[in-house]
Amino acid sequence: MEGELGFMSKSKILRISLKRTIAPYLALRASADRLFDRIESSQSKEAVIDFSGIETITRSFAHQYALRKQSSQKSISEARVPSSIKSVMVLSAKPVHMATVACRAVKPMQLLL
Amino acid sequence: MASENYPELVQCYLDYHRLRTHNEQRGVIDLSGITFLYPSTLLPLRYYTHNTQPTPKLIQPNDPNVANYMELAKGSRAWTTGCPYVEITQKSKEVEKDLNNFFGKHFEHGEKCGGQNAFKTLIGELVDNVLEHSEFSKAYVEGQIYKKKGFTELCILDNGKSIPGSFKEHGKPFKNDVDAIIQAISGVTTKAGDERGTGLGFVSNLITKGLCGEAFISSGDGFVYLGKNGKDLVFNDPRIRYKGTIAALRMPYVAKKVDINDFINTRPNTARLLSAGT
Repeated sequence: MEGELGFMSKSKILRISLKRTIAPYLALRASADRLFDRIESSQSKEAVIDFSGIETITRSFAHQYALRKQSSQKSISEARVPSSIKSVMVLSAKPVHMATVACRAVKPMQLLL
Repeated sequence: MASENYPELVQCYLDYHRLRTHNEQRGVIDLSGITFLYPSTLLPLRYYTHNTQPTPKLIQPNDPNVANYMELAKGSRAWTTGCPYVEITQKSKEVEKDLNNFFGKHFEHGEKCGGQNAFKTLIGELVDNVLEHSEFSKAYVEGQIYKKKGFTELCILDNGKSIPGSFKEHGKPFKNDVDAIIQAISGVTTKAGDERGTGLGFVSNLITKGLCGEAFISSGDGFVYLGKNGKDLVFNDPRIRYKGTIAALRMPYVAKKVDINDFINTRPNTARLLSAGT
């Protein structure tokens, strides 16, 4: 498993290149879940996620990454995170409460077809 | 507002429904008068023609350039087309690579569509929504830069359970289908965790405020158009029912570079939608 993700060093730190394991473009919550599923199934207690070569990250990926990292029992750190990616990750990890609209009286327009 | 006064993006989608309705009533899709096909017509129309039995008869557009967009008439079921598209599969491992290749090949990686970050994030959030909520068997992203016309248009289609269908399944109250779409934009989610559900709101702010573009979401009987300068449209009409969800967006080409950090976690202004029909 470790070899598939990157390599296991002698210090048993799991190192994972996101560009290699996912793509330069990190878009999906499912990809973040897949990444952490692999980390959790690894025997390593520590993982370093290498962000070098990552060009774009969506809020959804960054948010899911933050959620999974927070709930993980393992020590997970990031390396070589481009500044544009880092800012999205920081903002996406902040709590946001938006679900405030519930069943209001929407009055649709008449459609002229 | 008369039908012909709707924005062109809305007209294009209504064209699809007119053609579909014509086929249901008369058994033929007549494209002879069509002079241009944009993704917001083309993608749902092609999905419809490929998934309707019996296969609709097609009257080709008179303009041979337009006819090239509808290969089905030649008896092909392959999606050979002049308009670039990418199929979204449930195998998320491949989706990001496929999308990234698609963006590079056909959209210059979005550099002139608000910048790489804004463009790819916009489409990525919409595709993530499809994968997270839709339970589809078929989904596509189709789009093109129209340099001479000065805009980029993309359409995302899935044949899943729709936004109102998902709300219904999860016991979320909604008055009608358009209300469910507006709630989804507002941040109401069917997923666990109150920090989920910000995707569509983020996208709506990014496209209208950041990129000075426009977008619509059609799901079930509901239709929401987010226009430029807050000129929105909301319809709830079985005549334009779509079983899954279709979203389309159009932005200026060239669109100035946008910093997505300005839009992450911002609350969408759905008050304007809630009052749009009043």
